[in-house]
Amino acid sequence: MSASSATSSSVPVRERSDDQAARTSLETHAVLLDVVDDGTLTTELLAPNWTPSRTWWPLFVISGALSILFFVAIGVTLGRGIGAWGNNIPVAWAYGIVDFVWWIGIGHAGTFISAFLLLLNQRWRGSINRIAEAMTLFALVNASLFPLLHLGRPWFFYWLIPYPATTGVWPNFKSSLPWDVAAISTYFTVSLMFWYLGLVPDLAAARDCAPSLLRRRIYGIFALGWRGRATEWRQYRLAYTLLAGLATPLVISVHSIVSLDFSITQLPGWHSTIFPPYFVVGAIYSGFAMVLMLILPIRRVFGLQRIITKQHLDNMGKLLLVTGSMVAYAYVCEAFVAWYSGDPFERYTVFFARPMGPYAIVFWVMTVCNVITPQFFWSSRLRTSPIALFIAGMLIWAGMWMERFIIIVGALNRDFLPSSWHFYAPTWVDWSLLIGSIGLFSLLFLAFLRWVPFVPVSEVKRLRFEERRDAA
Amino acid sequence: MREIRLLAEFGNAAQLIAAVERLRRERYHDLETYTPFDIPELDANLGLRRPRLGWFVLAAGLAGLVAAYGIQWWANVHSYPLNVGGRPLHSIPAFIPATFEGTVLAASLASFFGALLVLRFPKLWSIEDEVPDFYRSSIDRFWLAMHTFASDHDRAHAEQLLKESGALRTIARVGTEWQSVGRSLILIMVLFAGMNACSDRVGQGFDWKRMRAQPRYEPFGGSRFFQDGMAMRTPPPGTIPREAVSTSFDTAAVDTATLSRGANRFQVFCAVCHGVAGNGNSVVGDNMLPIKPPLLTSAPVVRLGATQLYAVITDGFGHMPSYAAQLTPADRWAVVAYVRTLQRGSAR
Repeated sequence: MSASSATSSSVPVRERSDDQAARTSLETHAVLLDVVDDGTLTTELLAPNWTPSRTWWPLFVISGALSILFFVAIGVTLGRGIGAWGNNIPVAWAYGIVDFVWWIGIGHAGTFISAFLLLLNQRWRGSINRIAEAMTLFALVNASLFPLLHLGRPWFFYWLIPYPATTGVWPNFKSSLPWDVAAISTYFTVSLMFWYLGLVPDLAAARDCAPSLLRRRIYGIFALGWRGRATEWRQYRLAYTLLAGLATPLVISVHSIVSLDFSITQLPGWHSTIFPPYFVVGAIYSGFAMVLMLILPIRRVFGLQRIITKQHLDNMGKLLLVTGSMVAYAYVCEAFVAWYSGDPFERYTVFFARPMGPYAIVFWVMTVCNVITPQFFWSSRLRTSPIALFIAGMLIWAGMWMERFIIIVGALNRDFLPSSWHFYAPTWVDWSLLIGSIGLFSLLFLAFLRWVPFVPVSEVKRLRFEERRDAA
Repeated sequence: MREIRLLAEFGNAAQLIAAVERLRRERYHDLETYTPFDIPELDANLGLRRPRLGWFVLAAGLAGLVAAYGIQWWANVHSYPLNVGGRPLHSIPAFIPATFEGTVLAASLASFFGALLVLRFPKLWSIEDEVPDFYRSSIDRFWLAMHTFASDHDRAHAEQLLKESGALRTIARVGTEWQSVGRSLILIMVLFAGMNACSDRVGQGFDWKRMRAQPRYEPFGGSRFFQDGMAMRTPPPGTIPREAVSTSFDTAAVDTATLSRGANRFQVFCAVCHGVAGNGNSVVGDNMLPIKPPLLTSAPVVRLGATQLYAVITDGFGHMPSYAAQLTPADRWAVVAYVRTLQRGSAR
């Protein structure tokens, strides 16, 4: 025991302590509550991977059914062509692109939580980053499907990739579509590597806790032979931080490039220089909404109130408030620039077609969802209420989809010539693709919850170590 | 993999950190720790050098940058210049997004695979795995390994220090990898034994002779099976060679219908590479590497006999694949006739 008391003084706490005090003063609740010991913690956090909870199977069946609907709709789209959708000139882009922008935006919050907050040394991210990163990956799977289906002949998608073809034709890099291909494929690859690298120590823990030989083998292969050596941790820490540093500008570039699909055209309502920041903020905002919709039920079903504490809810509430206010500011800015430009077409789109046109109802519901909802989180009581946060998450999640609808369809259906104005109505295929993609997301996410350690066990153990050391 | 000569297990991180610091003070080097979570506090006392992954990542990022910009320049300025409303072919701002993505992609791949490479992952077996309960190093135990000692006295001293620092237990020596090599050898021997068991004379070694002895008839050999005692048979009366069905062609039979059929087939199957006029003027032909398809109207091709042209269509030649599956024998002759027409047309 004399050794351990000598320890607490010899551990390099010195430069941390000031910084620590400053940080904890901002934290109104504990980041981690009375965790008994590392062994129990590991067993509890990995238990869902060995035995499914009772709610898992029904949810899996429902998501499976919705995924089948998704694949049926994809089959119809491939068999009959884009004519199966409601798109028609001038509304050449509709649900396909709305869903694409929406899903890829949702993905951004995962990278924000795992990469931005890692670089900013926010220790609360450790408990939820795995869930957020998985959400990013599965959202990207959906997001990348929509533009491919929209190609019309998706089986020629590889024409977008530069390769030396005998035809001698190359993609035109002055178009935004090859930029999209570069951005989405890079984003998916980097997110996958970041997620997997972070997972390796926990896969090793799963290997060593697994109840059967087969599982031990499978997790063992995926753990790549991780043994927790100091040399391994050191290399891991560096590679993980490097990936975070690379993912941070990447995530900003991705939705900026998506926004360029619109803003480099001349259409009133699209042709605007604020689009890149406006899209990035909106993307992170919608992603936080979805993170809340995933984390709050997980916290309840798996009883993770000690790991995902009120401090996490409070922080997420604050982030919703901040990003929501930034989105509201972007809305105001967009309207101001439309007025200030003096361009009659742009003024018409923003001040007449949107609030009073055929999709006025969508516009007003969207404004309420995205602008009013986050303002409730000035209240610290609501910020720590799971129910309030869940409802807000749902409203914003839906509101952000409507925002993309207003931007895309709302601008296209009223173009320069009134004679070509067109009312767009989605078909059952459009609806099935939207609902089915949510089903596919849930299916992948449920598989993730079932087979992958969804709370970063090693990071929570590190957090426990720091908490105890600071207390001592 | 080096032999481990002293291994100690600790119940918490603080004790491990203290033990490492103490060993370091007593001038013990060559320490390795195994912990369930990252403990950067250990690095200084373990004497770990700063990893150089960052330079590799930087180099990869720059290579990605150059490659992404280069591909775009090659494609849009050099190989396939496309004039869009008179805008510059080399348009730097438009090349920025994909260049940025290429840089990030290459750098990220380098940090991920670079880390795996440095750590020699995947590594599915390691000497420590032979220690019972070592697996708890990923759950709630902290292990310390020492590899080299100047003397047995040193070793005993280190063990004493570890026990004083609160080690739950110490293990003197962990077997080398020969255990696992031995296991593989046994496995290989079992596999050989299994192959041996396939012999029809079990216990007398492998029957290598069966591979060489393959009973069959030689062309001019004898046979006890047939009355005339010969292995070769005379074909039935009226048999013609398989090739004879289609290699004969009556030049007098060339008529307008044959020529227009030949023109049609030529334009469908041949013109993609040889050009509609047979002069090799086609996009595919221009881009074909390393050699371009020959001009059908050139002297060497004109000198070829009709049967030779027919054989090239049937069997292919050089880069050109066989078109036997696409063209029936009659069609092939029609194409030959049409090629002759093209040759005459160009000679005039």
